[in-house]
Amino acid sequence: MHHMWKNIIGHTAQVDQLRGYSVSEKLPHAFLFAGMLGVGKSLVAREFFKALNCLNSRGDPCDACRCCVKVNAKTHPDLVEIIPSAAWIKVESIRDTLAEIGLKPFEARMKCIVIEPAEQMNKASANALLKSLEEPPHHTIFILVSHKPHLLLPTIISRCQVLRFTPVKASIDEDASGDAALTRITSGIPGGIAGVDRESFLAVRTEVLAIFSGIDAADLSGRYFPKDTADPKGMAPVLLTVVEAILRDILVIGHGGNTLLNEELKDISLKPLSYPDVEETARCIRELRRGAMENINLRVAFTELFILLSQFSAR
Amino acid sequence: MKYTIPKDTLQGMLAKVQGFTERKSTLPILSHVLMETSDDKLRLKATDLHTSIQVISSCEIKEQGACAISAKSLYDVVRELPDGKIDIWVEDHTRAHIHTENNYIKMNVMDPEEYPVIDFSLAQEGFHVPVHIMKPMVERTMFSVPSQAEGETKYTLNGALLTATQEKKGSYLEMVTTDSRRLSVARYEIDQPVEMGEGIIIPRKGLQEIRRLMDNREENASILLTRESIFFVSEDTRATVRLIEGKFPDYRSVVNLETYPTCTRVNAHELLSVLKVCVAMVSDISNCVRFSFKKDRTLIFANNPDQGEVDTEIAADHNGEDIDINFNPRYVMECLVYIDGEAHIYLKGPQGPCMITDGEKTDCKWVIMPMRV
Repeated sequence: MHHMWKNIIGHTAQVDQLRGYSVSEKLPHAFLFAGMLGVGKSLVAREFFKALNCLNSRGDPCDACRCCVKVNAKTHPDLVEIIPSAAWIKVESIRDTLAEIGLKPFEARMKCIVIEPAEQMNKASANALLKSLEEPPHHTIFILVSHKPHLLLPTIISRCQVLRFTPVKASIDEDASGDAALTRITSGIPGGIAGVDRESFLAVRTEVLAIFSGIDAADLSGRYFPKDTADPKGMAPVLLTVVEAILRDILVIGHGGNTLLNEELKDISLKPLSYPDVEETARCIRELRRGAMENINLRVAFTELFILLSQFSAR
Repeated sequence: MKYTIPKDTLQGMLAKVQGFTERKSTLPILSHVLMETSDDKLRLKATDLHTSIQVISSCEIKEQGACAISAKSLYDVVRELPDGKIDIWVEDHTRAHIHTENNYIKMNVMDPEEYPVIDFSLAQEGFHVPVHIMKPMVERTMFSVPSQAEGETKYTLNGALLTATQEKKGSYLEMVTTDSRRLSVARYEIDQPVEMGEGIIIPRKGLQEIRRLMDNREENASILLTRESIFFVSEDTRATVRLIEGKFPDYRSVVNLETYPTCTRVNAHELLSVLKVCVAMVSDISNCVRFSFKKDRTLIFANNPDQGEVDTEIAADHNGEDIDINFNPRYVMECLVYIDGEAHIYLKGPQGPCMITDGEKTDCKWVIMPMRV
């Protein structure tokens, strides 16, 4: 089940495929890495670049040679990244990069242009890219990274070799990384708690679990969203991940299973499983995920979610 | 790394590489120079990822090593130091110490491993082209490389093709540029054959840098060509530009003299000054001048409803049928500048391109597409 790219958790099939490309001479000129935010797409893109250009062992980045070191330090001149300047990837950034696309790689074998997230290209940017995407120069490949590939123009997608990334299976990383529990709790999306360090993530989890020992749902919500709508620390996605993991465990316990993500739940007495309640909570999480970026009253919304969660407790 | 160097030498070296650092880039290390020692030489390298330069000087080396150090800060510091010797050493890749009699300066440095790799080891089969051949070749073709604003989507056109050809009469170097509305070819004889395969494509920016370097009139300067790169070489300096990869379109059929049945001979200076008048009149939008090539004269007519019109006639020697045709006057002017005496204007017809040469000489050929009104 394991592959040679030690920085990547899971994604065995995708890594094997890319590894194959990196040692063969036949290479698609454009890739689309599609999958949920946080599963590791851009990390894979970076490892792929290393695999193509590693000076010690092509195919399996050594992380020690000049090339790998530069990629890790984000100073490699041939790994070009295009990112949104505000809400969009503007046509100027695409044009500036394309103006130099004909130049030979500076020191690498292959030059790589990573566009992330590709769905944030506006129509003008996407159209400016089309011609080069179809026929880049010999030593250049494109990697489009997209969290929401359905928003891309069909003309973009049809020019790319699509690689889909799914959440990582928790069992995979049991011995690959010490943070196995963390990966499990994030439902196989290691980057899902991006922006929050491990300790504060675990603290959030403890706080949310306290809902079963009777703490007030409105108080808990108010602690994270004192100003109703604002979410300056980006806590909403973290909370949702935590609640989702707890809900999953409640279902598992309800069916008599014992492979829990949150071991603490074993000590809590729960009501007999009620499917309508589970469905109601899941719906709430779904709607919050969709609405979290919009201008909703987060304090009220999360209070509702915590109340729903507390109802599973037998207290 | 540890060495001692006279202030003037170091300042001179730093001044030379300043222009090749890049401060706006997303890669912070590009604002640094790479300082390396090897044997008894100190090497400074700088690059903006388009043009790379290396300056060498011998000095007293006590310990070999390398570091990357901010180009501007170091230059500003060294410039203000008193004349005399400077001691420089670097400890643990973290700090550079710059020491004179009364000054003690410490500067942060970056890991030399992170610096882009620039290869200056010149290939053995390289061929030296004197500046007096390279310079006119660049000047006579550079203006028809499309500017970045024009957004040429065919990326191989964004540079000048440099190729070598062998013919019975001798060996030639040829430089070609085109923005798909006009094409310039300059060709110069060289004294020995050189193998360049399909040639190299030098991007616009690199061409400008090479031209600037040639303008500095350094002693013993020359251009070194290899199959895959171009270097500017002088006593202590080597510079190279990053090339465009790809295939330049086939241009030879366009510049074949035999496909142009009609020819007008006209005084280049006279035509140039008439066109200057026209340019003053026509606007940027309807940028076009009508040429009527007739038996013994050429009529030039420019009209701009907002400004006025120009109607001029100059003497010319024309063979073939009369032709009325419109051209962008700026395109014609840009090549007339390089012609002394008589310009030959070859034509295909009222819809076809024209080709301009310097009299009978066919070293330089400029092809211009007509405008349709």
